[in-house]
Amino acid sequence: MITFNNLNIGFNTHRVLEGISGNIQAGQLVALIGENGAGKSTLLHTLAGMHPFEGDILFNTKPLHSFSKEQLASKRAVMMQSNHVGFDFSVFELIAMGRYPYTESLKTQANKVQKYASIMDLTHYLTRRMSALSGGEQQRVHMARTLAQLDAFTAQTEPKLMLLDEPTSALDMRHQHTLLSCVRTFVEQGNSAIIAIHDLNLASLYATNAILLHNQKVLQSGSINTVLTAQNLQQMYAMKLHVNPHPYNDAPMVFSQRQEFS
Amino acid sequence: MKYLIFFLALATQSALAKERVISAGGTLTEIIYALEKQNSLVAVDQSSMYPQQARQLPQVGYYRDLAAEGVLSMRPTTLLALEGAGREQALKQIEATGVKVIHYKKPTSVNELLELIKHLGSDLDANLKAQNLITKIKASLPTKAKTQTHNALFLLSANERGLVAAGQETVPNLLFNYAGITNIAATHTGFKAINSEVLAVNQPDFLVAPAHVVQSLGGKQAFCKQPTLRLLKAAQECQLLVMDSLLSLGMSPRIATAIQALHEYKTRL
Amino acid sequence: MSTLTLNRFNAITLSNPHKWMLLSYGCIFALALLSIGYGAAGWDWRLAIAWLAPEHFSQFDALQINVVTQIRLPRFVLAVMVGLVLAQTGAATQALCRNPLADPSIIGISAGAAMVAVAFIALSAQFNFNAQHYLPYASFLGALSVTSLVYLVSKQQKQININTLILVGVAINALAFAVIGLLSFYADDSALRLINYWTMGSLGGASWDNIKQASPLLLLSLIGLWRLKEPMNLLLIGESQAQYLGVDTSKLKLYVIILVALGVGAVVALTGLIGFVGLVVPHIARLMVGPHLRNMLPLCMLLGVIVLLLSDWLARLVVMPAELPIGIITALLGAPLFIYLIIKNKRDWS
Repeated sequence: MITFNNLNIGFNTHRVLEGISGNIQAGQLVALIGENGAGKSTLLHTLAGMHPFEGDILFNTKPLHSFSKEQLASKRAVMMQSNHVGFDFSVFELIAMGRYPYTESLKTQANKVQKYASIMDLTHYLTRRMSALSGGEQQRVHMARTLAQLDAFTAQTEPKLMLLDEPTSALDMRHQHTLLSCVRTFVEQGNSAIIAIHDLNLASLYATNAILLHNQKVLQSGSINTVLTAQNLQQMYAMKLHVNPHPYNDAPMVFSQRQEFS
Repeated sequence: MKYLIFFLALATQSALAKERVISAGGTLTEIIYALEKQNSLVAVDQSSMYPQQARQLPQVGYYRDLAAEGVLSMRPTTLLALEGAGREQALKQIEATGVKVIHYKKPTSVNELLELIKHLGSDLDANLKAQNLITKIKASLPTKAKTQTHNALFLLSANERGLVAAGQETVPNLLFNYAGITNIAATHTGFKAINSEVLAVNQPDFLVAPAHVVQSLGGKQAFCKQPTLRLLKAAQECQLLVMDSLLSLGMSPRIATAIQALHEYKTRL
Repeated sequence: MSTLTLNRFNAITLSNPHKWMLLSYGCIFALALLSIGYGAAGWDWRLAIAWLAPEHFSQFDALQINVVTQIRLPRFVLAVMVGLVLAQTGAATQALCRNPLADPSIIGISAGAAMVAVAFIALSAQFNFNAQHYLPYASFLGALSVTSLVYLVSKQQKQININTLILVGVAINALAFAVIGLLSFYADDSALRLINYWTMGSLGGASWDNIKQASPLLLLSLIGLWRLKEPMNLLLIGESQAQYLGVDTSKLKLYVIILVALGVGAVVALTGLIGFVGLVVPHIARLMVGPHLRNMLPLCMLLGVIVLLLSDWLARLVVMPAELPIGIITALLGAPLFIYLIIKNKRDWS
């Protein structure tokens, strides 16, 4: 669904990623893993079409730059790490903003907003202002907006892409799972998602695939089981790690061990 | 008999069609009172401070920024406008409703002042009075001094922010000329800040200041004791002439009084 | 959409935009009657309709009808247009800078217009030509040139950096007022007075001619910014998100800046500097119906009209038959209100 080949990406003056290649198919939820500063955010923004690059990116077999901004808006959506908005919109208004790429009547827009609000269990919050919601609830609103932007959960002609940059970092455990299970459901409908994430075990439970970024290159990419191995992770994080299977789900769990401060 | 009725009718008509005049400019207002034509005055502008009776009349704003509707609400027949009166738009609107607007040049010399009086006299149908006033002023004016006997400085303000002195092309400068006094600040034009160090080298024999400025500083002594005037001998000895503000800053029919005051002061030094 | 919101600012806010809009139209209607009916030359609400058919209103003489049609009506129309433009450009600047405390004077447009106009006045005294007649054009040119300068300096790699925009605006403000101070020093008394009166703002110069001349610019700004309200609204949630949603933010920012400069330049040329409207009115609208421009912008513009009509009316009444400069009234009304709003909602601006 999105294929990239030999990407060289810079940031300000220095090279961040070199010779990056990959292929993400419909139905895949890809965890983008790497240390701080490894270039996860930069890669996400580049794949979203908002960062200059050398190389090729094909989006649903067409080159990325052949799409106009308006066209891309309904095909891919980005949910960023911090979503703080300095203006106190209502939940309804914020979700409605996701519908900007679509020309529709206000009534249709309202129906769509209510649909996605209900999917994210926000129906009773529609008239509330964002400042009256907790962090977890606000994140659900942003997810609803993102789903609205992609017209998710409706019959689609082509797969859509969701890009998320550390969407769970500030959430408590329950909300982390709520969000990721929602993305998983979205992906299972024939779409794709790429999530930059630090929490390896969370990634393991929900992602189908993973890409490890290390030293400006792709260290390893493939299914979760092939990528999340002790060998790979130890090479990346330079620390002793153990990988064991999850007792109830088919997913590798990563265990670190106590360290001495030196 | 019918001629009597005719004349009576004419008389009543002219009484009914009474002139309603608005004066925009302090100098004009003062002359109107001097010509004893104040009965036709219905309103004045904010700068019309003399004589005292003028302040009792309704004010229609500062002469440079007249309120068109305010002027018209007084239903004037005539608007007398001193040079600089505005705004242009307002004057146009006023004229468009049929009000007669007469413009007068601002006098910068005694001759121009007398010209102004003559024009006003003819416009207000007071030619005789105007002539008398002109004669009076001419007579009261001391002969222009042939020699400059003293140096002086006219201060518009003297405070921590410095000194503002009257230079060339100001009324104080004109008064000085007539009274045979050299203006120390004649190096600049208008009312500008002057460096107190320059004055230390080129000392005035005495100082002149308008009454409202001296009052606001707390009186003659307080004025003289200002730190910015420290270096001036005239300030140390408090050789200060306090003049009526309107008289010293504007061209007025009472100009002779102003010149006289200066003359007397310098003679008594 | 009708909503009853439990809001942190007030216990209950009836954020029903329609209700506020209707109320505003009602206020404007009432103020129209008041401001056209009551003034120095006539004190009767019937004057507000008498001008349409003077034959039926014999209690008013020709002068009064004339005052209404030549002075009060143009003033009313000007107040409406200026109110609409100042409120809208204020809201647009806040969207552009993503900051509820921004207004056109912050990015230096008003100061730039003032600086060129004052230079013009000083020059006119020096070279002896009539400043008042050409002043509007000078001021408008000032607004536009400052805007171009500010835009060029703030551009970084095809994108306009908002923080740079604000900083450059601050610098322009400082420069403009320094230049004004310098010019005031060399100006003679009459020029000084003109400068003074012009910086305090007044609708006294309203005439059908003026309005005809300035209408194209004002309408351009009004219609242009109105049509951009949906994408402008997206700027409020962040430039990246706006881009991801398909907005060409570079072009949008450019258009907004130009349209704001047009509107503000034209207003400053007609009326001098009128402060606080662009800052406080959008804020009040936000408190009533929230920040979404779809609801907020129309209400904000109507509130701007109300503020202008009320201020101008008071300016004409307080020292009748003289007039106060309108800038004084808007500042006297706006500043305390603004401080009150800041104190009440301190938590908003973290």
